[in-house]
Amino acid sequence: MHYKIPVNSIKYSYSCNGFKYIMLYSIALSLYLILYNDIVSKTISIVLSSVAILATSLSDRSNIIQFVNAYHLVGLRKKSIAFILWLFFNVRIVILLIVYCIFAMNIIISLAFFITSNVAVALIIFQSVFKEVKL
Amino acid sequence: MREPVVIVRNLWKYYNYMGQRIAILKGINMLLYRGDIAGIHGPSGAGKTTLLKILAGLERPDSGEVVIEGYNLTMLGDDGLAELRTGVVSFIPQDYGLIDDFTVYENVELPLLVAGAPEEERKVIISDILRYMGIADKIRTKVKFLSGGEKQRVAIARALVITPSLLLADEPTANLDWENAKKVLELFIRINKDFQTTIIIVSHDARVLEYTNRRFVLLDGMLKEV
Repeated sequence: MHYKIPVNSIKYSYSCNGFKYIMLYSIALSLYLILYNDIVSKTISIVLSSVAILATSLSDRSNIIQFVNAYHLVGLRKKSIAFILWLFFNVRIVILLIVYCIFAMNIIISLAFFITSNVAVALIIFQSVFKEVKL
Repeated sequence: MREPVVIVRNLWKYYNYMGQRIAILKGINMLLYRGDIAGIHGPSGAGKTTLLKILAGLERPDSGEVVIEGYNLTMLGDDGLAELRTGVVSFIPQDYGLIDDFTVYENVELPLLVAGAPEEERKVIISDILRYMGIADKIRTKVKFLSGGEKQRVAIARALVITPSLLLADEPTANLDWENAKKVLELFIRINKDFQTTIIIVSHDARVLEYTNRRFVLLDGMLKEV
């Protein structure tokens, strides 16, 4: 795959509106993690953060479908489309992961967030986009 | 001797609707040669887009055979069908299938990136094709700022950039007034003459057929040449 294809995906992820919401959410999450530093609050924040990733992805749903559809039309393979879509979401996930690394200071919590958000995106967004584009 | 580009034999396609299996395409047969410009006319829901998507490898038939440029589509896997769209077949959907937030250049570049063309080659091909389409001045404009006619030209440019053997256009005039529609249809004729590209235009507007040399009507899932 040409390097510009994944680069385009990363650029597209932060140019869409959902990225702005994630930036705002990351500020709120930072404050939350500073104020509530116990394990229960951190666990709750993982669920909330995964929901935030899903919500921002849904706000960009039409853009994501347009993006996937365009690549599908020009003959990009299904596996490559799945990879660039994964990159698209992980640009946002990484922003929150950085917040967890700085403010939660717990590798298990950070890892748990990374896995939970990726599973949520794969189960909900990937399925819905692939169904819409008929991949 | 004329070279066949599209061979469709006894093509059937079904859809499941409310638990019932409904045939949308009923034993379609079609033979198109290199340089043909074919028009398929039919009412909404007749199965025109489904037929075009099958020819583009975007959907699979339930039975029958589709051969494009010697490639039997029914024998190809998902990767094979995707590869077909990187060099043999180009499909222009009714909604253009462009990325609104990308510039004209970035949109037209997509097929070349997928095909792995080097940067210098991409620049030359894209500037040539945009000049040919008469939209060279829009190269750095985001697609969302273009008019319907300009978007249609960008979609055609993106389809042409890989110099396909077969160009499929789904309702290319549906979103345009007749003056702009005529310009787009004349453009298809020019492309057909200049590149010897076989073109299939699908439309619910019968006037489109005047611009084609092979005319088909798709009615109740059956295709007839008129």
